[in-house]
Amino acid sequence: MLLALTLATTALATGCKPVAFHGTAYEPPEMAPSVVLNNAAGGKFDLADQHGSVVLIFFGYTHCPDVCPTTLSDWKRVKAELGHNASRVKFVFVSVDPARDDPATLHAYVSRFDPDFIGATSDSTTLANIEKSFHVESAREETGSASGYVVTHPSQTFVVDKDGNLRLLYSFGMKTSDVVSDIRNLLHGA
Amino acid sequence: MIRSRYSGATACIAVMLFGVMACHRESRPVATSFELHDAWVRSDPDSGSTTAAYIRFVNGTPDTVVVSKFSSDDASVVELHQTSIDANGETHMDKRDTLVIAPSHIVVMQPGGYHLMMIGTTHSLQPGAMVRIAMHLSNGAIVSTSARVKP
Repeated sequence: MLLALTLATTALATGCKPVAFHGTAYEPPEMAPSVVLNNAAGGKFDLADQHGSVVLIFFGYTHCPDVCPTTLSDWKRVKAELGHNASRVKFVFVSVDPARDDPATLHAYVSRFDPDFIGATSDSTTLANIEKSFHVESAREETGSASGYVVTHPSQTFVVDKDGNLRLLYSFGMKTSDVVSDIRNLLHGA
Repeated sequence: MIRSRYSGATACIAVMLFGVMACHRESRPVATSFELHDAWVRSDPDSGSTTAAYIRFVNGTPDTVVVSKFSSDDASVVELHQTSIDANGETHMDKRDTLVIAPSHIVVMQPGGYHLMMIGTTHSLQPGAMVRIAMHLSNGAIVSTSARVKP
């Protein structure tokens, strides 16, 4: 009797212990903004349809040679480390350079890293509204580079939990093992 | 010393730039060097596109080294760029004209910081391949290194 009570108390205490995330946590969690975009396959990507999956979102562009491919390479490692749990995680690369990133270009780009990664974009107005709802922005800038204009864009990865709430934010260069740990916790209901 | 988030030596070329220092009757020759380490290029399957290269510069000499131009047979143009991330997490990228490495200092190119833009790649860059990158110094010397292509 005493043993059962002790075990129950211990389990309760453990269950109530808040999860310590590695990423920056939204406290309290916020309902994720509406995100409806054109995906690379010619259909729509609607964040509201992703309930049951953890969704990682990054705003970038395919002509970005540094931060964007580094983030996608990190995502690739995250997906591999997640193993079978990766089937319940969506990786969404949102292009904020619709002038150069048509769906086919976007699809080819994200597929270089992983064929399951989702490339999506929209018109400038829609993108600006979505970015505003995430409290970020992007802007085209001329640098005099032979590669053409560059785009200033957010460097973070946003994480939406399986109930559609914004839960975490990762700075650029976050350790992939930490991201994997957090996603596993979210998948298990943290 | 700035630490790179990516480790692993892929290439290392010690370039004797300044030769043998003047020596007195009992002193031994002292060689000082400017070294290039860990050069790598991000793979890109498409010819004609743009990718980034990263190198670690070690200036073991008593003089400032200025790299005024970069080039490669594997890209039409090679430019020095610097990524910076502001307090809001916004990433900016600026073109730089020169890379200055102070005496006894190390400059590490890494994602999110300095990088070389390999613009107009002349062929597909597949993982495992090697790419030659040349550094044109302000004193007229040209040094080069081999950069491994990585995913």
